[in-house]
Amino acid sequence: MDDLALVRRCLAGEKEAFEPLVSKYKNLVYGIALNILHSRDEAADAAQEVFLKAWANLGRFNPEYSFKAWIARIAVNHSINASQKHKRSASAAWDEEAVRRVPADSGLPEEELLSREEQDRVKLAIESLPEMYRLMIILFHQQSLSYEEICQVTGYPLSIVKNRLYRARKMLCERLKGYFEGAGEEEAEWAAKKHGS
Amino acid sequence: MGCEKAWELMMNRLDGEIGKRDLMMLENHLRVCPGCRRQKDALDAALRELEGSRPAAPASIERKVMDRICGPRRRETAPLLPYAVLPAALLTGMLAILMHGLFASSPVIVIEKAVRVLDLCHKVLSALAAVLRFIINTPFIGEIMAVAGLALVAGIIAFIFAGSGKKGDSGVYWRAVK
Repeated sequence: MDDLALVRRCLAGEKEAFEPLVSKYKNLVYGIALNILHSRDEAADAAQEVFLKAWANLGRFNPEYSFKAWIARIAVNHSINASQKHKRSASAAWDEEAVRRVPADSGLPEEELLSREEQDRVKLAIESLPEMYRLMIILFHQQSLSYEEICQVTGYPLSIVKNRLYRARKMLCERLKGYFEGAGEEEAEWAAKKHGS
Repeated sequence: MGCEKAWELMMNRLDGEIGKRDLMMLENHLRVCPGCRRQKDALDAALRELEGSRPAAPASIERKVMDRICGPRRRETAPLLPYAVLPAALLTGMLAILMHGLFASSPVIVIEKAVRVLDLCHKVLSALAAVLRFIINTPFIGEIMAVAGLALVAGIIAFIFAGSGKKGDSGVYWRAVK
């Protein structure tokens, strides 16, 4: 059943029809909240509040927009408000979020360690982006929202959304380029040694 | 093709808006330009990580949200179900003994056992009848019958309400709460 039909059933008083909508969009809402709040507990609470807000304001939902964009918009606004209430530093947030940092003596194979190191670098690079750019990257690449949906979520015109996403990718690339250059040089060095020996 | 144009094509590729010809031009450029190749690798790694690390919401969100909207969910388990377990177990045990007797010995022995069980039931009923005779002969027989009648009516009402209490407003059953 499509979202609009479920919304109509909810508006007709069938409360249970809201549950499939929660199931369908809980990861989206939680993902947005987590990326803004950086705490699993706070993100879970925020996700609940977002759905309750959506339920309370369901009568104001405009069927011309997608429910996905509407709920994402509520999630973004609610999470930004919550984040302003509990301002915290990004580094503390990553620690709390238990980024998979692996100690050197963890006994894991070297390939896995390198892959985790790469993941951590990438996460830190994403985290270091200014919020407005990070949000674009998260909505487009992680939550798979279309440009049109991002416009509905953020309220910006398409040109601004495209421009911000372009800049966000560029910044991300700049922040990671150094790491990949280093990795590339190490790789070349290792290959040269191997062939030399 | 210059590096700026290559970057533009890389962006188009990420948006899924790149033609075959442009894709080929980009690939050719990446083959000969280590700087752009590193940029592409960095971007690909970042986006791969993002796509692969989509956070999963806790499973309890639906329940918590729906509890706040509809009130706490009722359990699907019938309230009287635990009381039915013991009689069902006794009946199953008796049936098992009878079936075992039927298969393990001759039908004559089974009939003898059944006669013995019936005889036992007869004795139990006789004892019950004696108790009832004693009660009926008491001067409080009217009060006892009234209390028994009220208890029977209360039991029937409780049973009916317990049965209808399982359903929600719309008659749709919630999933069992673990």
